[in-house]
Amino acid sequence: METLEPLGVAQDALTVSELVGILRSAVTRHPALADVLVRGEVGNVSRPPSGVAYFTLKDAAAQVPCILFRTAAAAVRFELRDGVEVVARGDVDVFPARGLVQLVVRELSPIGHGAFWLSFEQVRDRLAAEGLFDAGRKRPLPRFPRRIGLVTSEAGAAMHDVLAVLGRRYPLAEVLVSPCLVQGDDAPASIAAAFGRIAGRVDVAILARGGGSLEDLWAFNDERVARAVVAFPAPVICAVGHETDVTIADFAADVRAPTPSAAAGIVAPDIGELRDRVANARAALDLRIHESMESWREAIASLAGRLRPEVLAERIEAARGRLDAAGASLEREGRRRVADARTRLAATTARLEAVSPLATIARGFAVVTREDGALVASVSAAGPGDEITVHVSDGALDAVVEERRRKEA
Amino acid sequence: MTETTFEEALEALESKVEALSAGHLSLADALRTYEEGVALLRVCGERLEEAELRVTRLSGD
Repeated sequence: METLEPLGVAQDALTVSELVGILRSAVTRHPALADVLVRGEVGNVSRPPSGVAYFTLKDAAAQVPCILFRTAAAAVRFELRDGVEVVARGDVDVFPARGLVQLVVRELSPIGHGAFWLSFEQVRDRLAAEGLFDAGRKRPLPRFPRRIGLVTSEAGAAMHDVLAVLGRRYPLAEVLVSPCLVQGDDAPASIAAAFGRIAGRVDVAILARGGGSLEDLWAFNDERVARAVVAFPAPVICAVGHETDVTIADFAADVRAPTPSAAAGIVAPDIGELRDRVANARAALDLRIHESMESWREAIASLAGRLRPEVLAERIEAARGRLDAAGASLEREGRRRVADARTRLAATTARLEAVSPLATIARGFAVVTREDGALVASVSAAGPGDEITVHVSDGALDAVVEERRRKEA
Repeated sequence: MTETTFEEALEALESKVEALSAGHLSLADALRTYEEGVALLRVCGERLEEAELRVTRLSGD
């Protein structure tokens, strides 16, 4: 039995690492294998908790393992699952540990959307450069929209959702439904025309469409729709698809709502809030008028307090007191004066008495008067035969003059 | 429409409340403001009660 001849000298053999290194070098340097676009069907999707995603891209005859690192995986805007046709952009690399050639995917789009995304970015960037999406262009929503425009498909669930929410939350409004196509090549022109029909007739408008595939929603990335939204004379709320769907119409709108129902919630206040406001106003009105009346009442009470009869009575009492005091002092003064007069009278009387002839008479002298009452102070005043009266202290003596004797000088 | 809308009535009502709250009205003005407020309250209440979403469908092209 022959032994197998060695193929060469052992030291001429490459190590595995060297071989894979050469392979890797050849792969990474090959210009056709860098920044390559590959289309195929997704299979064997595996998403370990690390955030990295593994899958294979395959067609009928071949497959290639692919890896999406965490940040690239997070940027994928659709559900990565088996059977999805995709276009992947990435670089081919060799992983030495497993000797495996892999496509390191940087971007992944569902099939056909590669062109869509290119168009999306171009339109978005061009309109942004024109200033169509500027924050300064965004108009505030009216507080109480009286007329609300609804640009949507009459056949869609979005219309039903919006009307249901508005009917419940804000039945004060009138809704003008302006029907349009919401998908297909004719949709952009139809949407623009629908805006045209309600321009100037509503306080605010909602552009709505229910959820759908990226292709279904594509009309909302059309430049004509964005321009119709920006040119609309009233603010526009855009609610297209689900929360994760972002269209160029969203950028152009004054407000973006995640869903049509949400748009109906944003466009108007809730009637319950309005009822509360009315109730608050009612309470405030009553409180304020009550306070106002109370303050007037207090003012009147304060004035009335200053007009109290007691105050008047106090003043009368004070006057009476003064009057009484005056009276008393007047009386005292009167008494004093009467007493003085009495005293003076007594003194005068005493002096009078001292000089009175009656006092002299009392000492034994007499006063002689004629019949005619004249005092007989001289012998000449009466002659013999004349009747005279001799007054003494306790009475009088009637007498007749017998003789006149004149005192010799 | 010449009829006062709910929002007009509500805003007018709230401005009446504000005027009353400021508190420098004469008694006659305060009473008049209050009466006007009560009238507006009635309008607000009526509008809320009679509210029913009106939907007009415009014809498409």
